[in-house]
Formats: sequence, structure tokens, C-alpha cells
Amino acid sequence: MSEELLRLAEVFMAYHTQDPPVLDGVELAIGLGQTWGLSGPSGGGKSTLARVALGLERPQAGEVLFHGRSLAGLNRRERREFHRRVQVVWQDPYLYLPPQRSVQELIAEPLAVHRLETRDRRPGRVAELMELVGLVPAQALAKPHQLSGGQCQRAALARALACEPELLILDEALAGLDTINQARLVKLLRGICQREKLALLFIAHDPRLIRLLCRHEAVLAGGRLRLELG
Amino acid sequence: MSIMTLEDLWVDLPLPEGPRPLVRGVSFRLEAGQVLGLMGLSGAGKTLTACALSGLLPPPLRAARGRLRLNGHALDLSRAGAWRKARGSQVLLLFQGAGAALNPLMRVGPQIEEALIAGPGLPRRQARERAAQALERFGLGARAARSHPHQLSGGMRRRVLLALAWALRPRVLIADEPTNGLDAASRDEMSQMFSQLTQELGAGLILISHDLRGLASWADHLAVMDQGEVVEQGPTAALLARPEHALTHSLVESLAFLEGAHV
Repeated sequence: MSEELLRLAEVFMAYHTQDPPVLDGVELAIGLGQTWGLSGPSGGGKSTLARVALGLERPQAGEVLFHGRSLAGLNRRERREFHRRVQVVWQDPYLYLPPQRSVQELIAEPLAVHRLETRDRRPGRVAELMELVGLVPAQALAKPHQLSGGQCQRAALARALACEPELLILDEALAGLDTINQARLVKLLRGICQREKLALLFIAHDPRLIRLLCRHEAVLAGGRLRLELG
Repeated sequence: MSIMTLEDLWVDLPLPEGPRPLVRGVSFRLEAGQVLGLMGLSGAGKTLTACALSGLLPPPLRAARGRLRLNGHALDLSRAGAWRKARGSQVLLLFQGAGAALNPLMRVGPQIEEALIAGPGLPRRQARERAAQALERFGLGARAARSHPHQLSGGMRRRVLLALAWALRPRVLIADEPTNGLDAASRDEMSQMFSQLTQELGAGLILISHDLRGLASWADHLAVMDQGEVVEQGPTAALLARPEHALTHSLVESLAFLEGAHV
């Protein structure tokens, strides 16, 4: 077992008191560099689990531990660092990428926010990241609405990777894409995970996509998480 | 015998510098009971082709050329007026996202009734009976019929559209990304319901999708579109085994990779 990166411990979430809980005592430990696939029926709480793991929602019971420390106990600086090291790409990039920013601005923003390169080296880093995800220099000035779904998803991925994360959460991030773009992005992500020791939590309906990307699998149904031993 | 033949369809976007063609010379035929997959990346012109077939091109787009043979009638698609009389409700387009296709302000039962009165011209009482029958056929009872679309789940809304199709009995059914966003089990259920429906109606089904995996297992024939043109078409198995166009090639390669054939 590799060193533990993120752990959901006995996490409980219910949106309404009279409804059955969405997460009912969920237990999941993601080790450094581990790739996890998460599937389960629609409305089964997969995205809620993602939001809890990202610290965007506080569990009603249980806790989330990052390198063994509870998120609730992090100070401002540590919390900022956590939000850099755990990144997410959601299903629909048009819904959350700032529409007025160009591709290069979208990718440069996290570099500036987290002071990741010196100011004069940032344009070079942006170009590297664009190349890594397969965007061409001519697209640097395009804004999200001028890109296709696949291109926009690449920009979202580059923006997440700019943070040099330890864990990348993909919530149905390949679902709306055409066959060619899906295959390209799976290959790209496999390469990155191997090279950079990046851990993955890949949420998807499609078990075949999960098997292409992940070594570990879990299924969330009825609020319970079941680990598949593969 | 073909129930529908489309020949040389052109769709133009009129611009000050002259019309820009978005669909360029598309032709295909459809047999009764056949499932034709219209495949292509986004922006290839798949949905525009479907809109032109069902007379629903959003202005200012217009069909500049195109002949449609349907049930023995010949139609010139560039003449907008020719439409309503000859077509009736024989070509039915079900849009991606059942939410968008239904009127949010109307209960679903009356929506189907209205379509039966406006299309085939049934008297109201008969329309009401057929609408109730149709909803029941897809497992939706009186309570669902009295609901507004937003009160139903996504799956139920999709079934309302199937019920609408069943009630209208079109010759050609076009479904635009009918399984987008569904999990595997619902996807199989949906494709089964569609297959049964087209069998029962003796209709042809045109499926529009950018997901070759869904189409490969469902469609008998495939037509691959790129930049407004059909670049390759044929029986699914043959086309996948021997792709000729570069786009079909990379689609088939990507499919093989995703299926785990060449990992």
C-alpha cells in the first residue's frame, strides 16, 4: 500500500432529513499515484462524493483527511495548498470556465494565483501545458464558446494540471465527447498519470472507460461504497 | 422497399457575401424497420440534416436544394410551402434532451392530444383516448399524464416522447442523441424501447450521435458526416471492417482502443 493521499472516513451526507442519505458511512482511501474509478447509478451520489473530496461540501458526519490531516483542521494557508493539490475537471466545461477569458488566460490564472512560476516564465509554461493536452498555439486567444467541447475540455484539463496537483478528480469529464476525442484524452491521461505519479478519481458511467484508466474500482449505490477487488 | 429517399440535400446560411453551405449534397435511403446511424463529430451537419428532413430548420437557415421521396410522394425540400400538406407528421424528430422538446407550460397528456389534433386531425375525444393509451403503453399512468414535464424524471420525459411517437405513427423517426447522459442500463433499455417502437410502427429510425460505440451496436447502416458531407456510408459491419475515409478510419481506431482491442 502506497502512502495515503486522501481519505474519506465514515462520510455521511443527506440533503433532506426525510430522504435516504446520499453518502452513508463512505470509506475510501486514495494512495499517492493511485488511479481509482468510481461508477454507480445516476443520482447515486457520485458527484456529491466528488464535492466532499474537494472540500466544497462539508460532510454532516465523518471527515476528509488529506495526508492524514482533517480538512476541518487546516488553517487558511494549508487550505489553499489543499485546493491547489486536489484539482477537478467537471463534465461540462462551458458551465464553469470563465467565458470571458482566453485559453492562455485560463491556464495562466492558476499559475499566478498559486505563484507557481516566476512571472516571466509563465507564458512558456502555458505553452507547454497547451502542447501537453494537444491544443495548438493558434487556439491561445480563443474563448470557451469559440472552442468545440473536446477542445474546451482540454483547456479545462490544462488549467487543472497547471496547479501541479497530486490528485485529479474527473467527474464524467469524458462523457459528452465524441469517440475520437474520448480515445485521445484517455491516452493523454494515462501518459500523464504514469509520468507524473498523479492520482486519479475518475467518475464515469462507462465501465470500459474506467478499466482503461484505473487500477482500482469502486461502485457507489444506495449511499454505500463498494470496493471492487480486481 | 425504401420508405424514404433523400437526394442531394443542401442547407445554406444566407450571408451578405453570399450563402454559405452547411450541408452539402447529402443523400441516403431508409428501409422500413431499418436503423440508420448518422455519425459525425460536432458541427458536421447531422442535426441540420435532421431538421431539414422534418421541416424544422431554424431561420435564417434554409434548404437550398433537396428531393425527399416519402411513402410514394416526392417533395422539393427547397419549397417551404410544399411541406405541411404532404408531410403531415410522417417524419418525427425527437430532440436531444427530452426537456427541450416538450412544452414546459402544458401537462404532458394534453401535449400529446394537441399533437394528434394538429397533425393527423383526430377529434378531441379520440385524441384524448389515444394519448392515454400511448402513455400507458410506455408505463406512464394517469398521474404522469396530468404532470408538467418538470415534475417527471428524465427517464419518464424520454418515455413521454416515445409515447408521442407511438401515438403519431410516423413513417420515419429521427432521434438526436437519444442516449446522451444515460448510464449503461438505461441506455440499453432506451435502445430496446426504440427498436420495439419502430418494429411496431413499421417505421425507419435515424439515429444521430457522435458516439460510435452506441451506434456500432445499434444501427444496421451507418452514414459518416464530415463538414456537411456524407463521406462514407454502408452496412455497419462492412463499414467498420473496411473504413475508407480518413475520418472513418480514425473513428474505428478510436473505437477499437476504447473497446480495449489494442491497449
